[in-house]
Amino acid sequence: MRQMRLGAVSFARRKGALALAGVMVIAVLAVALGSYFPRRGGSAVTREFTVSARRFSYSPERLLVHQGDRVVIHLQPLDVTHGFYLEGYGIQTYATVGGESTAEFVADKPGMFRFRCSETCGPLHPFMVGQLDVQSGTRYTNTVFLATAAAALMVAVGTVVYVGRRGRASDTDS
Amino acid sequence: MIQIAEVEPRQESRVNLLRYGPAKRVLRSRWFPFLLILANLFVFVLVILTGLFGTPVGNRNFSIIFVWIVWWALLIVLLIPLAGRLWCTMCPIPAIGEWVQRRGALVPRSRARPLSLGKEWPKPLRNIWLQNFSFAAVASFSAIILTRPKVTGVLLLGFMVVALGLFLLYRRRAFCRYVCPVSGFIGLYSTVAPLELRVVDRNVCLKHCGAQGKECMKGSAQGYGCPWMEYPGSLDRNSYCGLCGECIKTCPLDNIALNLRPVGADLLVPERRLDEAYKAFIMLAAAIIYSVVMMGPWGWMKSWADLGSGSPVHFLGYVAMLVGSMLVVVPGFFLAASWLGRLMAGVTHIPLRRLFVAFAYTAVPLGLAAWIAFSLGFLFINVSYAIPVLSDPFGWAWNLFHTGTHGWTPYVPQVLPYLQAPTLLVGLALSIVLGDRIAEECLGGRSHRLRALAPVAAVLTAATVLLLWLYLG
Repeated sequence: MRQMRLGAVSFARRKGALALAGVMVIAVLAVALGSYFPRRGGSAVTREFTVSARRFSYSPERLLVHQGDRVVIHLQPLDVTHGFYLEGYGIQTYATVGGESTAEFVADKPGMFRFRCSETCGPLHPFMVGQLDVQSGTRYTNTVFLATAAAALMVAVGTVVYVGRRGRASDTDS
Repeated sequence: MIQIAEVEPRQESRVNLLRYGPAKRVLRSRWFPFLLILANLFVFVLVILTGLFGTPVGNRNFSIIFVWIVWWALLIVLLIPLAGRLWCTMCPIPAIGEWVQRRGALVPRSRARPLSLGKEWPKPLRNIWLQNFSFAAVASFSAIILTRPKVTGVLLLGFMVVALGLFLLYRRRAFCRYVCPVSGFIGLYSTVAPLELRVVDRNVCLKHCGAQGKECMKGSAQGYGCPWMEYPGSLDRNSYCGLCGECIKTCPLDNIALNLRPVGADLLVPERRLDEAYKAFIMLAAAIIYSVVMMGPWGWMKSWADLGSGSPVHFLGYVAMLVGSMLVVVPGFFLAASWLGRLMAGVTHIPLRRLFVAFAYTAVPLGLAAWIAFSLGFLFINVSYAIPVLSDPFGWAWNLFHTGTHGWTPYVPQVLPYLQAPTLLVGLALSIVLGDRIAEECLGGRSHRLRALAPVAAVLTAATVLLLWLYLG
């Protein structure tokens, strides 16, 4: 009897662990799928931005481009020396007050990428963040977010169905 | 006796680590956790000194980098999810006060009376409301605390002084149990951890009571009575066990177990409290607001949160937003979901308060996942600041280990979404599974429980999508 109970517990735990592993796989696939969403049709263009930097924010704080666009960013610090480091692309530059530096790259990866100050500029320096949205697909700005949000809905519904079936199985047993 | 036997945890799903000789020897030694505390006390003193006397530039100061990046990330990403209150085992903040109160640091002295007035903690405060408010207060000033070394130094020194004062006034670890803002959320989230300290057999405890018994509470020559004022014989959740290991040393019957167990086992214990429910809301709300303010691109929010450089009126606006989210908005969503679920399941005879408090615990797995995702975000990006700071803790241009010139290097930011999204989705799944168990517990059976659960599951999913948007959107 005890052996059977132990077997049931171990089976349930294995099933639960497998379900959680499944959730992780879904999440990873969602990020991967969102990142490699087929790029939007149409020709790439050059998009040029002048980004002013003041402690502890950038203006404009969000930049929107299309996947494949050539992006040119002119960094203009207004109060102290500020930097510009773009996560995911590894682009880095800095400029002093009154000066300007330029970063150029091709936005070939879709998704949201934070850019942050890379020159210590004051107390909230580690939180001086801006955002580059690289649009892919036809209408939506961020396929990575959309894919993961869809995965979240799928996981929520799937979990409710899973616990619902557990309930039905127990009802049948009893 | 029957009642206790009924709530006996299922031993078949546990592995007692104390069955293994080396683990038992270490935990029974008086050097554990003394040496861990001593090592951390050294670091803690360095944190206070660098905070008070080092450079005011946060990312060049040991106190800011090692407390708010290295320690915080270790705590949230590893210690709490894997070992619950293990940090409390080695926390240096109450160490001085406890040693003063005990008149010794290592071995119990049988005739030494505690150096303390030994008062009982006031009954109305025997809950975690004080910890809820102390956390909300610290969180309100977090933009200053996290970035100004002097403020961090003063705050941590202040914690130590308050702890010392409370050790002199009250019995045992009243500070850790009822006041410390960190202890409150560690306690709540330790319910998820796959590690627990329990007794092997409750009947052994019951038979071993009376004048000669309960060494775990009273202490003996082998160790002190439980500093957390818990009776191991009735322990069924991690929340208020500091894993100090004193009961392992004092139990003459070898009846203490340190178990590996299924994740989140404590959350199924039907002991639900409003103060803990609010702790769950406060932590989930804080994770969301911190993600908005610190990881988001909105500069105006950062200037509102930063009292040091912004206007007091804006700062009050930020505090209202933060505290309002913690105490009104997030609880409001859960209250509405509980009300709707009660209506949909047709169980209006069940008090709304009961459902509301019970469903609040579903915010625990998701809240912890949100904090892990948030902490991973700044850990990978900012941990490289720790390398030069090791060589130059005060920011005085030292180069002790020849790493002082190491520049800021964000590590693998492209990997972050692959870590954050699975973390949040696993948190969501665990929260919904827990919600199902809670619905079953409250409805007294399985019928209609999915209808009661549906609105809460919707709120949890919405919170997850919001967090995904903040990290990836």
